[in-house]
Amino acid sequence: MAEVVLKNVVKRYGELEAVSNVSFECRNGEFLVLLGPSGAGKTSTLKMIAGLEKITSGQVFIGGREVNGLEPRQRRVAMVFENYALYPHLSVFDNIASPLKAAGVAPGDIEARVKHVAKMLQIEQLLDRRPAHLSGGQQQRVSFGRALAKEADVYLMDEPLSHLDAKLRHETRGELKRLHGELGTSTIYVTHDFREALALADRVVVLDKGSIQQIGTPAEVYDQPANDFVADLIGEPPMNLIGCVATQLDGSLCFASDAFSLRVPSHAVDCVRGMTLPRQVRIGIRPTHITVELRPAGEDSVRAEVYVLEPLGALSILTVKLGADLVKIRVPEDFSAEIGDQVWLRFAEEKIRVFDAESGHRLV
Amino acid sequence: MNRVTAAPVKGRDFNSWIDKRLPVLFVAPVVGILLTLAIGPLLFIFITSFMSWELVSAAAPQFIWFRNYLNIVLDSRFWNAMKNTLILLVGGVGLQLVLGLITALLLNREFKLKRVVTSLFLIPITIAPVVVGFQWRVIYHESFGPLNYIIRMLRLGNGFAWLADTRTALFSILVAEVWQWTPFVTIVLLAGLQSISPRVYEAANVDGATPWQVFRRVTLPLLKPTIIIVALFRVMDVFKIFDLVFLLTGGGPGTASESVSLYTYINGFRYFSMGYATALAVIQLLIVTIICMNLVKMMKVRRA
Amino acid sequence: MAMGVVVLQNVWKKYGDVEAVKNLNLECKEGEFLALLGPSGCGKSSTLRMIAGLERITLGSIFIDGREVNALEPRQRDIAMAFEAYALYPHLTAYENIAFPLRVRGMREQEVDRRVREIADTLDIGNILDRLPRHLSGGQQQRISFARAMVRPARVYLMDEPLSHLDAKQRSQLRSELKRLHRFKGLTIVFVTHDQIEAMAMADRIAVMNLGVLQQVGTPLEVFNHPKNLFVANFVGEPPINLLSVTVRQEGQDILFTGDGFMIAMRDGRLAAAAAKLSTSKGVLGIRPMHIALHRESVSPHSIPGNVTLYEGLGDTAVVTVQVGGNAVRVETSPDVSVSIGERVFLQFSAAHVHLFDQDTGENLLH
Ligand SMILES: Nc1ncnc2c1ncn2[C@@H]1O[C@H](COP(=O)(O)OP(=O)(O)OP(=O)(O)O)[C@@H](O)[C@H]1O
Ligand SMILES: Nc1ncnc2c1ncn2[C@@H]1O[C@H](COP(=O)(O)OP(=O)(O)OP(=O)(O)O)[C@@H](O)[C@H]1O
Ligand SMILES: [Mg+2]
Ligand SMILES: [Mg+2]
Repeated sequence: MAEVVLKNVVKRYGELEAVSNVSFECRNGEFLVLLGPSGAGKTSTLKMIAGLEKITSGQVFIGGREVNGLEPRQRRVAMVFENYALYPHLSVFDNIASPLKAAGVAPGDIEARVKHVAKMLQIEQLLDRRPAHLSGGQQQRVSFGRALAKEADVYLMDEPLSHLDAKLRHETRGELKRLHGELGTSTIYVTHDFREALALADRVVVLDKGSIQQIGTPAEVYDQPANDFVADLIGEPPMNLIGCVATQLDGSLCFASDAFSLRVPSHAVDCVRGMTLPRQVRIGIRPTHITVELRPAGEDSVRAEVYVLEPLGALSILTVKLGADLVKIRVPEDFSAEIGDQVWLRFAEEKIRVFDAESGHRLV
Repeated sequence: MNRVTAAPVKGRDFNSWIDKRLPVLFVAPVVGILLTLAIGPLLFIFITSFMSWELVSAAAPQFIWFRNYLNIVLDSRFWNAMKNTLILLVGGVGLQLVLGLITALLLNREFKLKRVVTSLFLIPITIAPVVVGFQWRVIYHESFGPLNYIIRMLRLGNGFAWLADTRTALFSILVAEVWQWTPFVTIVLLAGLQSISPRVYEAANVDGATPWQVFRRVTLPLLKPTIIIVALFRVMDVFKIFDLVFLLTGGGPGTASESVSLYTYINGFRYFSMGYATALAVIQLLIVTIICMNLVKMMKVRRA
Repeated sequence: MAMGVVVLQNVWKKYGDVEAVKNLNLECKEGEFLALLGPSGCGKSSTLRMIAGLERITLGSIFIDGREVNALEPRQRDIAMAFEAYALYPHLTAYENIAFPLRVRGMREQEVDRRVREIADTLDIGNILDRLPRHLSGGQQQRISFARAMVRPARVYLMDEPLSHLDAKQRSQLRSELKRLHRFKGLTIVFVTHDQIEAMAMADRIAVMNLGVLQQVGTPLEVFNHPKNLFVANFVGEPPINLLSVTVRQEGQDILFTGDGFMIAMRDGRLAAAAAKLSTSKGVLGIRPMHIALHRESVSPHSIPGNVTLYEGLGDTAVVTVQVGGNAVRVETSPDVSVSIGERVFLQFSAAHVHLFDQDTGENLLH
């Protein structure tokens, strides 16, 4: 058990800076998720913690000890690899057992541990096959099992569930969370799936282009994204960002564009009052926080035109055109509308967030 | 408390000390051996090559700077040996690579008795060159050799004096050399072929590449590092070719099949001109080094 | 009879003792987007690889354009494929990888360049074209592999989980890109995925597989709303459907369902007809998490009481697990509903959303 601390860590591959000056901490027993789009530097960060990539500059500490110069095996970490990295010449059993054998665990215990994780990952019946004779998802589970069976101070997991179906992913996610609760081993988990991040994490580190965008609890990154990038990364569909100007009209503060004008909600009034008006901003609102009406509904409802309706089974996603922006809204599955119809939107006031149009930082 | 932790910390210190120095410790004996067995004699040779040192005359060795090298450049027998060596080098290594690649590609397929056939390929490599030399001497023998026997049987002629004819002597050596070393090339290339992921072939097949295109655009480039390595081994080896030449023709008839190594040997141990012989050796060393450096560079270019 | 572009007839795949695909009959029509959906190890990749010609067909036949292709090499089948494990050429740059299928066809360099740049633009990989695969991140490699498959014309496009390593945004972007290509160019696509949202969003039809056996083929809504059996119901939908073992009794016009810790009565003609088909009085009641309303007070005599055991916030929604007798019932609610662990709540749902399955055969009795 140990905490992991990164201080001003940089990773360069030749010219390319894959990780720029990243600092964060995974507290003892914490479940920390690194979330970011493809190429954000998540794998590079994880590999530096594991000792599989040289740290260009900065320091990594595990359990209070600087590990920059240490070999991977001296860092007491277990890692699940993005591309599995299984031993092709070993059976599934031996693959999972290999770190245990290396650690000198007694054969009886090895057997018990391997069986245990195999059961948890539903691969018991595959234990004597070779990796080449497994499906993609099965290989991924073996790689996951190999890390879980090992006793380590820190677990490092690089997209361990990406090749599993929803049901299995759900179950494994639950098992993982339970296991983490039981063992309390610090875990750093890489994913590009915000749902996984929100469901598993104690805290989420959002990365983009090698820099940290926000560190916070799942509720924080969801509800109070630090900037438009984070807002756009989380949620499916993500938060709507609508360009407009904060201004004063007839004595009251409002957000206005060609297509609409919206009273500034009470929680934002103080902030907007402090600005030099008018000012270009983007307001952010989640697709769940908009209600759609088929006829005008009060003066604060906003008129829009139906762009497309995508049924997704349990619910549908309605896209409407609001001025220059497309706005997505979650609507019930029985909602029906034709392309080109007029609809009226009503925003949940207290859920409106405001971002600076240029820097993208959240203002409210 | 402090005491309890002191011991393991010390143990760990020792471990990390070992860890840091482990590479050095591993390499040290090799470096030592190299220094005494390779670098030492090398230096000796290098110095000797600047001297006139005739063992048969009573004159004391004399320092003559580059005179030996100058004489070599003007020595037509040296150039003849050089030409022979290069023919063996280019022809031999070239043939070995081509034949080796073809056999490796054939062996890389699945077929019955694959293991047996592959092990048969190991036989020539395991035979001592001396034995190979004698074996081919028998094969080429003018009156009793099986080769001429077959030629006569097929009524293609009366047979040749393979090793005693200026036109065929060098060629005969080349054949024996190719026979002995092609299997080695095959085995190494086969290992290279087997390390290419089958997925890549699947992709190429789906992408519509014909077998020839797969070979040209996928197999060959991926095999290139292996080809270069095996070529490197063979070039170094053939350049020094001595035993087969010595046993089969002795460099003859005349100097028709004399290689540089043999000429060096003759200078050193028949004429006992130590200075001249060592100068020849140094020249060979330089040439091999230059060839190898180029090959290694080719390999590195691909890596970057 | 007009034949589909790809037709599988009684296809089997065995690897030694492992039966990966069992007696599969499936058809992908001209211009259709067919998704193969199923749990890990159910035989999706095996099926796709047999269509591609990368895996021998143990038994049965596969036709492409009416021609049996069992004995044809992949390159003779006019297919393009994106591989599960990418299978990029390690010695070629990203650009050369994408250009490969064009170059082996002898296309002019100028045209090759135009096409590669065009697809690289749509996939947002223009800036990594000169890198070797081992210098790319997982998601970048996957996009290269996807681009290599999409860059050229082919009769059928076979894709094995081509989006699994991408983030939500790119995924939805590629999803719409692929759907657009499919619509406008009339491409025929067979798409393997384990992600039902992906299948729902893109496919014209979905083929659900389990343990090598085809379970149901239908449009996304058919599969979602009218699952043919327990497996399909359970597999499609996230979070999965709640399945409750019940004893069914007819009482006047009411159908009475009694299970561990609850009893509900429903009045519904469809249900009555379905209940009549039950061989015994035992059945399995299915109800989707989003079709259950969660109340803090008992709102009607028909609501089911239970205790909250787990609360998972998923951003736009939340999943509350409620213990009802021995059953853990999942309810999907808006994240604004705040309940605490251990709290007593009441669940309610309408007969219109209920499925009834036979306990032994697993069949959906409503269809
Ligand atoms: N060995 C390497 N050499 C050169 N560049 C590299 C290397 N590995 C990664 N990169 C680059 O560094 C950046 C970050 O890569 P990294 O693998 O950390 O991304 P990631 O966040 O894990 O993405 P993904 O979700 O796609 O796996 C990418 O632009 C990638 O192309
Ligand atoms: N080469 C092989 N030899 C033996 N068994 C194999 C081989 N390839 C696959 N299998 C087995 O066949 C079954 C089906 O595999 P397949 O790869 O088709 O699954 P899949 O549906 O693609 O799963 P996933 O979503 O995990 O990739 C699995 O049980 C797998 O273990
Ligand atoms: Mg990665
Ligand atoms: Mg698969």
